[in-house]
Amino acid sequence: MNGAAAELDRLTYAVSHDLRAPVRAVIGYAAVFDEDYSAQLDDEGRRLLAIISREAQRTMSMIDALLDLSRIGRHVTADKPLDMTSMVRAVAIEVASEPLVTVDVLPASSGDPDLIRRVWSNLLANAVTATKSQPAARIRVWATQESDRIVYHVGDNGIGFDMSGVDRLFAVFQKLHHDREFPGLGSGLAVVKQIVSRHGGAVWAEGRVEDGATFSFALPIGHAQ
Amino acid sequence: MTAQDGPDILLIEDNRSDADLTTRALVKGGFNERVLWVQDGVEALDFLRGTGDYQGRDTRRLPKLVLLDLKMPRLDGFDVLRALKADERTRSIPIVVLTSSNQTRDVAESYRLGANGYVTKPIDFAKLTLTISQIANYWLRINQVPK
Repeated sequence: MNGAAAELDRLTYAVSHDLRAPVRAVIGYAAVFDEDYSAQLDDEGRRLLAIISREAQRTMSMIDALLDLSRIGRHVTADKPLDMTSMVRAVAIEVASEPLVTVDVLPASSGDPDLIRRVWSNLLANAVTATKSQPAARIRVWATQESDRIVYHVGDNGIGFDMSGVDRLFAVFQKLHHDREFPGLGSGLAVVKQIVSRHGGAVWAEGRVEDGATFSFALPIGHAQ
Repeated sequence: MTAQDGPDILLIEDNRSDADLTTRALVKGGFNERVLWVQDGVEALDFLRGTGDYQGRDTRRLPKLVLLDLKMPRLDGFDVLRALKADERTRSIPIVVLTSSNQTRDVAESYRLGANGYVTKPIDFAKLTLTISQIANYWLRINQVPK
């Protein structure tokens, strides 16, 4: 990381950390207020209090997501052999409640096992969410080998996305779908990008509205950071 | 006897809201023990040693439990741990670190300096009440320290 990026990262970490205390106080006092005074409020009063509490908790989740991204940026990545086939199969069992994920035999790679596992977990969880209203949901994981890198792909036949927004897909808190279609903060793909970048790789996605999506990431062969 | 004379719980916390919510959580959990809130490590050591603003205080009665924040101005939680565990008189006071940090190095450093427990403050108030009650129940009602 260069000097300016490192400084920005330190700032993000410091600000995020310091913001937690006042937000925690809002959440705490909203709960105390609810317990001690909600009987004296009418329905509208209770509804407004619930909004304060919910939005404060959402703010805390966003702060934690920023801290998480910042930690990944500062994390010293291990460089260990990775049996990708076993890793993906294990993650698929955790993420998908039914066996809807087909995993091809994948080339091994190297990198930080905990971080790369998070990449798979986030990509597969996204695919599961994207296909949840699809009667015949299909998710497939495969890989292609190039001269200097291995490219791993997660494809699904879910709700897809409009390619005009593809640049925003991997940015933190940017979402291409409404919460009812795709719940969450919109930080999962930013985490994927941060981790893959830390491994000297690249991420990208292709999709069409209501016609599935494929998320790909490339790891250099003989990665060493 | 007031909390100033001899609290059962010494709460060392620089954030006023956190201190207030922790005290409320104790009361909600049914712990009516005397709690004294001090705002940083300097004030905590002054209280325990009877120095500074607490000059002349009867220091014979020690708290049964110290709840200790880590990141504080002037003297932080690590400094407090170091000082209390180095002093024969205060060494056996149970110290539970109560912090918003869940960083591995903070946990490791706290235990290296002799902390008796390390708890990350839950954000949810109901969970905070449950957690604080469990800590207080163990250290005040179940645990024994040298007389």
